[in-house]
Amino acid sequence: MAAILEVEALHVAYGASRVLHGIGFAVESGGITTILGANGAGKTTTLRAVSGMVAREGIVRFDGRRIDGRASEDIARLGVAHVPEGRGTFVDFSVEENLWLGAYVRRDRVAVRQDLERVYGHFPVLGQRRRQAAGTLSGGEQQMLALARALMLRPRLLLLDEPSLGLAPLVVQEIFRIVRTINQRDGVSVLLVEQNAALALGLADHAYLLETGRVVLAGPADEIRRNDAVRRAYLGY
Amino acid sequence: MAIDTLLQQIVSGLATGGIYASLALALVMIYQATEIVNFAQGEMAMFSTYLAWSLLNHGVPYWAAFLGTLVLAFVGGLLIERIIVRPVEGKPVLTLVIVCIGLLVIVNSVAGWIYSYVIQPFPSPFPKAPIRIGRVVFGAHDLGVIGVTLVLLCGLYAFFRYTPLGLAMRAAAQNPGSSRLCGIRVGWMLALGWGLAALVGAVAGMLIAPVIFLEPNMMGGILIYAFAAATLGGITSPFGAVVGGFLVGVIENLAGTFIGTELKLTVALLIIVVVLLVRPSGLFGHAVVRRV
Repeated sequence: MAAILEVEALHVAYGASRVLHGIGFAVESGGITTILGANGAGKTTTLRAVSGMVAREGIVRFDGRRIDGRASEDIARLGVAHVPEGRGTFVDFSVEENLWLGAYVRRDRVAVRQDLERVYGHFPVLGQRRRQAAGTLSGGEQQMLALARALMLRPRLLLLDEPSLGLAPLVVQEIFRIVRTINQRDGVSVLLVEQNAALALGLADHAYLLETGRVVLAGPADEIRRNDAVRRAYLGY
Repeated sequence: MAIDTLLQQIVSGLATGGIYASLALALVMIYQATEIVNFAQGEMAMFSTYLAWSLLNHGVPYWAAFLGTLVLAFVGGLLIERIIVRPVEGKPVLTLVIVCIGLLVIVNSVAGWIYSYVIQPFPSPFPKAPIRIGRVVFGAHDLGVIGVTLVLLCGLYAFFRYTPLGLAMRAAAQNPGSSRLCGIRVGWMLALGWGLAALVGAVAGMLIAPVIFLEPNMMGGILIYAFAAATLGGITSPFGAVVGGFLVGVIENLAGTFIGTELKLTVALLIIVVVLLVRPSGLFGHAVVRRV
């Protein structure tokens, strides 16, 4: 299967401290890849490097095209939606305005309206609160809003940064269920960064294990799940 | 009699208040987008007014010159952001203050160099004859200024509230990182903000010039009132800046009538000091809380 995202020899440094030491990975077209690792392994930085939020060196190809020299806004316009750490909510704006912003680069107004209703179908609670300021939503609702905002772009690739962080287990399950639906029904490819390895491996087809800025293990998700070291260190059994 | 005078002075205060409101709004728009207090806002308005004056001297009809000036001011503001402000964005406050003051001095001297410091009359598009409603007499220019500023303010409100571009501009000011991830070209949004602020300032300049006459230093005092208005309303609140502008205009005018003309500017400075002492975030602003 062709890869929608290919990354080779990706380096990132914040000043003098190097965070990524030439990592490589891929997301298959229509697939879900997860990057696992502890705090500080470089997971968030990896996503930020892909979407152009940090200066990076190396090769990043989206749909065969080099994007490693491009700015964030251009990468978003190509169809890469990044749900960032901290969710990136426009807190003073209404829920609906947040969703309109997600669709800002699209010119097909009619389809955007349809997508708005579709997103409210996925997340009924957002529909109920469409006029409410986004900053007043609960953590789980804000995570749903962040995901919904990303979907309004009609992305081909979704970058998810720890969607489970700080949320109740039931809410997390709901969010992962929706990610799976979006992946299967709309064919949106997903790159998921998670600390919760059990959840991520249950969803993904491929997995990479990141330790202090290096890929130490890579393979199909069920293979990684059976790996003894991963089981002991990340799955806890 | 007293009531008539009061009413007259309030309307007259609302007219100058509309000017302060526009200029204060321009200050707030730029401050919200880039956290820069644009000390050159008044000089930019003054220069725009000179452009209008040039157009009028070349025989262009008033409203065509008015609209032409708006376009020129918008482009000018945009270019100033792109060329002068952009390289220093995100730099320490002192750097930004110095750049803005430098801009003030440059625009002022260039205007003096091109147009000289001789005071020039500037026409009003409104009739000279006062308008009588009952026993009260209003200046036609005052009423015209109130009308034009209201149209301008409502237009801006509708633009920011109801258009995708207005929404994107607000988003870029509030959360640039997240805006980029939505594909919004944040740099251009900030430049558009400067362009719009320059346009709003140009309206203020052209409307006040018939009253205070045209010369390179004309906006100095006006800018202080605009600062008073922005401080009173809250530098973080566009709505507050507008309300503050009208309030300052009325207070100033009443103080001039009932206390003495000499104290007009003192009143503006007094408002700034009192607001900063009693309620630093202004009437409608919110206190900025930063984690350090």
